[in-house]
Amino acid sequence: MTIDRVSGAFLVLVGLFVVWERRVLPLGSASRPGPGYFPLLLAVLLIVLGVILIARGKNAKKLRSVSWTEAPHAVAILGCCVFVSLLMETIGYRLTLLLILGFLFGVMERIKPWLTLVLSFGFSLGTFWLFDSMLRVPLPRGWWNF
Amino acid sequence: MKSKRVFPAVITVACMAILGLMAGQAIAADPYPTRPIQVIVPFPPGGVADLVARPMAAALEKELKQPVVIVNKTGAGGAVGMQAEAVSKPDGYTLMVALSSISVMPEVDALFGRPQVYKLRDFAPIALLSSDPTVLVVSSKSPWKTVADFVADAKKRPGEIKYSSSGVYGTMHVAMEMFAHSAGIKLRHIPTGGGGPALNALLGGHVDALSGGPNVSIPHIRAGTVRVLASWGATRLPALPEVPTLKELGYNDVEFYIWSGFFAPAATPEPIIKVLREATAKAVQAPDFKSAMQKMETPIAYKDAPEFRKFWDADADRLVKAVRNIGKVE
Amino acid sequence: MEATVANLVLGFSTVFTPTNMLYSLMGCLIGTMVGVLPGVGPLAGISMLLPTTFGMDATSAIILLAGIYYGAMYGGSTTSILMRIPGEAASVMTCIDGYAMARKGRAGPALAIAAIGSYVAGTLSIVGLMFLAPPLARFALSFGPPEYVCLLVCGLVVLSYMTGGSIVKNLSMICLGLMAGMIGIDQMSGYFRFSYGVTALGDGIGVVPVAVGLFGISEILATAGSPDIREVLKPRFRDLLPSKQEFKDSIGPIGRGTVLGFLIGIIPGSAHIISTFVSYALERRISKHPERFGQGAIEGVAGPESANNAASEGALVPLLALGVPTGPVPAVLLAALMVHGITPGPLFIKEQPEVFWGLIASMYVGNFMLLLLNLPLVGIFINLLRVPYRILYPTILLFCVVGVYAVNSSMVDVGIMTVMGVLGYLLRKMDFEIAPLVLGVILAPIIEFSFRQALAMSGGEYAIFVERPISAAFLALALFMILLGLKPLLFKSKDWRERLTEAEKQV
Repeated sequence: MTIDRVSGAFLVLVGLFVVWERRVLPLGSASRPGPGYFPLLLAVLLIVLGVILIARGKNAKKLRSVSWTEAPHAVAILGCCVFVSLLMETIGYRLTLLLILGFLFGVMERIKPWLTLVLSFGFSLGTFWLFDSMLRVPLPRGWWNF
Repeated sequence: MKSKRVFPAVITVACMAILGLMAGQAIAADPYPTRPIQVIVPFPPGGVADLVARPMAAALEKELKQPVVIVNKTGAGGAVGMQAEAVSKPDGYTLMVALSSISVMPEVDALFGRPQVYKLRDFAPIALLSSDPTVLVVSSKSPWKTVADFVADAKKRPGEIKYSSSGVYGTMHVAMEMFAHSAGIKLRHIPTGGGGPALNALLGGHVDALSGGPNVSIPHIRAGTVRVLASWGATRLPALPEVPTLKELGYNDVEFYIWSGFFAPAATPEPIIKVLREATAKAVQAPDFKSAMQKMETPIAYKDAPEFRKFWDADADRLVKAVRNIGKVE
Repeated sequence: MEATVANLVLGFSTVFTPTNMLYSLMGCLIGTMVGVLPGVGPLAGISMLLPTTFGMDATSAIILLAGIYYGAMYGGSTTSILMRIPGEAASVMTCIDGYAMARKGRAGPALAIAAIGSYVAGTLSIVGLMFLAPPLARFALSFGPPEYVCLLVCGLVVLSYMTGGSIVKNLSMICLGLMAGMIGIDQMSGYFRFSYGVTALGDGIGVVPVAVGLFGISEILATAGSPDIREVLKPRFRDLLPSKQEFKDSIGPIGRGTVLGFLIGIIPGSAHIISTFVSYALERRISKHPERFGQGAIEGVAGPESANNAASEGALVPLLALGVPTGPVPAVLLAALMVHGITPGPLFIKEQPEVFWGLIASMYVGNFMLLLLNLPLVGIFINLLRVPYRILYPTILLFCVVGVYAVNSSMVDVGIMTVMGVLGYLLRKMDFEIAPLVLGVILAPIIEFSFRQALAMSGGEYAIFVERPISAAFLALALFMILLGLKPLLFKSKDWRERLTEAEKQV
């Protein structure tokens, strides 16, 4: 099980997905290509490339040799990003970022509590002031307008 | 260890700050407006809507005594911003400046069998700000001196004359097709990524004609690189008095304006709309606004809400009919 | 020639007033700030300041706004080099070698060369702008859809030299990127593709969330929890300046990048981002030691940085000479001019010489000011690297989120950035290069749209590509380059790639 084989398989899957999804788009013809024409071409190309990768993948790095040591940490950070994407418009920029920064500094990085608070408050409120009030780039406020 | 004493103090201060902020927002309950107002512009900066919205926001700020901030929310020909406005809270703090293409989107969705991104009745009109008829512009190297020449040539070689537009079902596309339908001719449509690229295509000789806003075309008309044959208005343009309207030339059902209007979500309470209408009426009289619009050669075509609604309904009818005539392009 | 000198004198006299110098400085400062922030680009900066310029004199206003425009190009390289986060899409290539140099403790020279290269490129481009604006602009206009397609095909062939590693993997990344770029409204027919009812995807995935996510977020994901302690470098003053060897190595790339960037920049359409990709690929191809690219080769910073400054100056050529904007940012500058009652058009240079030459003079001054601003800033920015990474990265994350959100006030963009961050992380684990993916996303709409436009223009005849002289020329060039690449297959000599792999094995 090498990385090339896994990624090749992934590419083939993506290609097949696109081929399936583009059924709704008219193909047109070679002289008047429709919206579905190029996606189909690219999907076929991708499948071909994926197959080549799988076929020649025997000599690539083994999957097991890939190090995932930082993965748990990365997942936590990812969780923060997802949290921001889903909730920032509901609970407002300042609160969201306060929570995220507090989490990252305090829990993940185990920085001293007082420093965590100062940094979290400082950055979330400070950047909000900088962008929203000074630069007039509105940042989301939550339902109680915070 | 200092941190033992500092820590509770910091917590207390922080909590007080948060509570103070929240309390401040809650206490200022009325009268409207008590905090900054956002105006969504569904088009990129520098476009027609943006250019009208910014001086207006500046003038409104003076009337309403609160910051009025422009938020560009672009995408899908304006649909992203318009949809955002349709679903925003009807408390008067999220408004929108949109173009005539607002009437076209739901119809195009219906044409493609998609759920409509919004409905026209999701919006309450506050005022019409500007309204420019489009003009028929051709390259000065072309042989057509009048609309009659153009139509005759188009009839001789159907589907050969190329025109550019800012995008499928965009203002330039619908306007031209409205005319083509009325004149019974068939033209070849080359969509581009926007008004700018469409004009470039004409200037570069890659297409033969287009129907576009007058103010971007005027410098090229004066320089002699393009020629203007007619306008889509009901009356002649003050900036181009020798240019006939298509209506004059006999195409009675052809009228097309690129207009910009000021909107709020439909459920916004009547008192707030009244405040906005009055403020807008005063804002369009402001000397700064007038001079900004004059410099852009965009005449102010102000209509208060009731007249605007009548104008909008009539215009929407025309546009919907034109889109239906175009049908699906591919 | 005398006329030009006289005009320049007129221009400089307009600029060397206290107010205009102040505006130029302000514009450069704001531009640098805006460029440093990931995501927020010159477009946002200019449109933010547009209302404040309403009361100003036209020349002062345009000096201010133009300062923001090219100032942003200077600032964008800072975050790319220090943190591998592209300040804007044009700085993506700098992320590769610039960041590698920073990891080796050569961040100072990288930043310095970026600033110097930008200055040289900017100034030389202004010269080009001054003398060649009208004829160049007319040439630019003759670029229609068929020419575009052939140019981009050429670009794609050049770009296969962009990165090392397996051709199959690179191709699949470009392919994936092209497909991702097709999400959204199809501009030829009005169909929504792969957007699943999310209206915000209607315009497709933006380049900014993709670039920031793939490069920046994936870097944070990969490094934050990593056990290798990142050394907190304590740079000495000597380390801040490039070595003599680095200076010598940079001269060629800066020159080539300038010419390349300027020519690509004048072409209408957002092709100017491509100038950085092409410059990188070119430098790699002609370098005697291509294996150094990706590990911290100064040419990989000097070339792209010069190219993107030259391209942004070049983008002003059609705007000033003919009143034709080449992209969204020149369009806003056009709008700014219109709001002040100036309508750029073919007669602009003749009718408003004070504005045109005042602008030109201010660009010379502004570029110089930016050089003076940025060089000392190198010292300040380097100190950022002293902050322990565990404190630094949440702050970087915050700025990425804000920057990406601020582009279009859209949470969907932040979501896209997150997804791209995960993708970037996984791709790194699987040994794929991510730069081609970004390229694909940028190119997809242009190449497909132009191709179908060209066919619509010709009524379905493919002959249009060879009938028009410019597009035929580019096609021939592309063919030539492909044949050149195939030469080893025919003559059984070692391909440069094979030599490269061997060299890499020895390293």
